[in-house]
Amino acid sequence: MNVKLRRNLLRVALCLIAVAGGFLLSFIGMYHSIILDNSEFSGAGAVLPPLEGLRVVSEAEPVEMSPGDRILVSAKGPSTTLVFEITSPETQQSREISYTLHMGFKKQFFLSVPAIVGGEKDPFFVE
Amino acid sequence: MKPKYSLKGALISNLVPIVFLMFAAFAVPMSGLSIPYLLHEMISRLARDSLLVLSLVIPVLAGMGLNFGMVLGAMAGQIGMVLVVDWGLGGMPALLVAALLGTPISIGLGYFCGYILNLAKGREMVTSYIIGFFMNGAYQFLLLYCMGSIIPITNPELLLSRGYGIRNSMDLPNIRQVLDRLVSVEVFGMDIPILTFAVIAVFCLLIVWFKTTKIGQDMRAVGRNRAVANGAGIPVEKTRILAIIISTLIACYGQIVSLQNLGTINTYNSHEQVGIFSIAALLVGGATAENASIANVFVGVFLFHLMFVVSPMAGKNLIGDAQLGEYFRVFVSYGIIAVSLLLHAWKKRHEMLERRLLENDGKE
Repeated sequence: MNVKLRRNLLRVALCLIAVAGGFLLSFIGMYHSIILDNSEFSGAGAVLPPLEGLRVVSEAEPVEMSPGDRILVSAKGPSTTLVFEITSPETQQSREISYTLHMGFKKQFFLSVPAIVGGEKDPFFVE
Repeated sequence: MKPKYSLKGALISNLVPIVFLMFAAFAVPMSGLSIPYLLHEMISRLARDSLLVLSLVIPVLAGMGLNFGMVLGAMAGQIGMVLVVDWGLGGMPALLVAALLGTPISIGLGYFCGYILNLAKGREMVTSYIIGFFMNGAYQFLLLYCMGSIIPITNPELLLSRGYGIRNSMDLPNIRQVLDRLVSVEVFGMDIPILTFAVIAVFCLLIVWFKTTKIGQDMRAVGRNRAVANGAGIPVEKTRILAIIISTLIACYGQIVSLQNLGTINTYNSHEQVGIFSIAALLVGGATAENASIANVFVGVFLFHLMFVVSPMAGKNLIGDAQLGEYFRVFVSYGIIAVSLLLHAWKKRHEMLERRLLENDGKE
């Protein structure tokens, strides 16, 4: 292999590595907006009421949500885990539900908390 | 033989930093600012601007004077930052992606600038200054008209109300001081951005290493005498283009480091200011259009910024008007550029006259 061809191959390889590196860095460094909605959810024939005594733990500080509340949390990277702590107002018993959201390159998500807690397969609102 | 040390020679060659030090010795007590506050400010500003000023060292080595075309690199860095903000990136990956995006742009702009400067040998400084203006037009066209119309911008907060073109200023909420805060230590209540200084140190070492390589030696030879270098088989034009490309590339990274420290982008002005500012800082550090070292960079940034911080307060305490102190600082700091360029022109003219006299003597 002559020197010129080898140099050009090396240059092309470096360019490809730079592009791949940029793509990977964009994947891990992207910030996403997640809107969480705690109002009545109706889907797949079921109606899920809003939750009381709800506390959301995300990458930011924990936030308490009342029925009808809507909050915005931001998350970085390809996926994030949201933890919902629900304390029953009658029995004062708490339960925790973790939900892992795979975000990819999408910037914004609109999720229903009652749907997530209720185990709905598709807790997303159509924008 | 080792050259004989002379105090007079040392004083003359370091006249500018000595004058600035004397001015600082007078202005610091007058300003009433505390030493810890000044130290904190100096550390922050050294981290912010050293890399930008460092970008000017290589073209001086190649005999191309002070590269006013470094603003092209700053533009490339800003384009990278605008795109990164639009894509919603944050943290260190955002800085790295901005650098990756800025790299090909600054290499292209550096090649263009170097090519033009080869056509204007002997008038590099004024040519690079005008190239900066010319490319500023292209930059404004790209950001004001192409972004949002031809180049997709998905974040409406970045766009002007008409639907295309980038806003005058942008916040960098997820990028602000990510490099500075990633590895930092607190000493006497001052945050020292270790990683930023490590990055600057790496670039300093690269420049020192580069000077020892074959291309570095070629650059030095080209800087000393183009005709002799050409005669020795050194590709003069290629070497000069390479010097400008390296300078533009370092300026691009320098602008990214500077913007992450500030946390905002003044979209249409940030890059314009860095050229004049960096050159003034380098000259204040004792460099000339023919000779610049890494020490000049740090001394220059320190003294130049010290003036920035203390002058308004000193002016206010001395005369009762902060603006007057600021006027004086601007007059002295930027007057240095004029004096330096004047001395450079005078020296060149003197050398040319001496050469002509020698040639005439040879003929006779």
